[in-house]
Amino acid sequence: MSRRQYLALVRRDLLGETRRLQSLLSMVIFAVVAMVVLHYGWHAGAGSAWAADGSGAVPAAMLWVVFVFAALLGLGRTFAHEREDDCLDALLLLPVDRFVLFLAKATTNLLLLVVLQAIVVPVFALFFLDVTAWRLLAFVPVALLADVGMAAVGTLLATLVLHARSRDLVLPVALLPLLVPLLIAATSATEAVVDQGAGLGSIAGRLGFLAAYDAVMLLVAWGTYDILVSE
Amino acid sequence: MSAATPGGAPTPSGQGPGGIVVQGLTRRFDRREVLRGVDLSVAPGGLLLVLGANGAGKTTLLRILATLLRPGAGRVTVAGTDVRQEPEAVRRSVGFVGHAPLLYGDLTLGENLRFFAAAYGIGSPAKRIADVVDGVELSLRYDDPVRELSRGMRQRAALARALLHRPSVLLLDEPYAALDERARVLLDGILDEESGGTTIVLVTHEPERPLRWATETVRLEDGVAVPVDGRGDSSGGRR
Repeated sequence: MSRRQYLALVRRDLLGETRRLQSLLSMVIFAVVAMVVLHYGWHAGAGSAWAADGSGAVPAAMLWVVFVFAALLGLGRTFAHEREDDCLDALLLLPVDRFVLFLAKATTNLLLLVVLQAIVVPVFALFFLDVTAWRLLAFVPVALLADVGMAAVGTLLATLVLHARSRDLVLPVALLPLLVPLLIAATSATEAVVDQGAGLGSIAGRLGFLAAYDAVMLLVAWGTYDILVSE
Repeated sequence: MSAATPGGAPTPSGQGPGGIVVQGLTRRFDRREVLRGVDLSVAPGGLLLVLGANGAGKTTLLRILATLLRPGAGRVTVAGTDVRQEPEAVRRSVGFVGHAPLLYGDLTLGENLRFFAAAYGIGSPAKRIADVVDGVELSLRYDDPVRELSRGMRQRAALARALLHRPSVLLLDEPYAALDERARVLLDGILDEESGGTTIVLVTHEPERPLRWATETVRLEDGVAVPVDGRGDSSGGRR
């Protein structure tokens, strides 16, 4: 029954999102505009100098900064439909384990992040990178593991601030510090991917860290979500 | 049928599979104690009418019965299940109509009901959905987004949602609000149909209309449930 309920919850969220496209559109527009501005600065001078030594550190950091702020727009809307339609109680009345509720919301956020990245990364590569497509494939596990962590902690905190008066302000303030370890690991792994001189074997440790981060956040959600979402 | 028994233990009539027993229920919000030892019980199939002034705690009581709020202290069982120990089982037994319709505005009525049917694990839901939509006379608006329905229609849609999974306990918070006369008659019909089989707790400011189905009536005063004349004993049943 839980699997069926989980799928029903995810399907409903995606149906709501496809009706309005508000989260995805705002995330993509922000990311693309930010990249256009960065692209201008990059080719105006400073970036070219950084790029000249072949290091991927700066493009990797730029990618994740753009990505995390775009993601914030979507994560902040985790319960937007329930708030706007005043129907959060409808979710809470369902005979569904609260962790299933968390998983469904986190899955929707994860799917939004994956779609965002599927659009953003090729554009970013076009603007800033000079890497082969097969090398860029090594970015997929990095992005997926980082996305899982971001969706998990984002969903948790979006629930925590659900009834806060200034939740749009509180969410980024609470979320960004928690994402710092994840962002450092993801940026470091991405640097290795885009740095033509680096071996891809070096990202294994970062992937392990990202997987551990995801596991911890999922465990925290499993242990606390009932309390977080209840009142 | 048992009565609310302020200050004393309720009679055991609410302990059946569809009944409700509330013993010594308290609940506070910050420093304000809204419920201060509520005792009441409703036998399976009974209808408890809950009256009280604004802020008396009627909605708080209903939300605790629905597991939307945790009880502060005391014991609450709904459909024979403790709301603290097995909230999921309680939710399966409860249909709830609150101040908001609890439906997604962007989705059509049909999409909403299909979602709730899946979430409640209703097998082959098409027939059941058609029945409840017919029951609230919204068949013609089945494919319309809920946002485009009038307030009264949304309230009827909320009833359809609440009845969809055949709850054994129905919790209704001011269900007549926002309904026009035709819809009120429709709700009367639903109460007529459900009462006797479904345990109902109905919170209202307008007791005249649902009084005929009430098996007991309490008024919340100063955080306790006081039986209202003539409805507190077994002779005060349906008429």
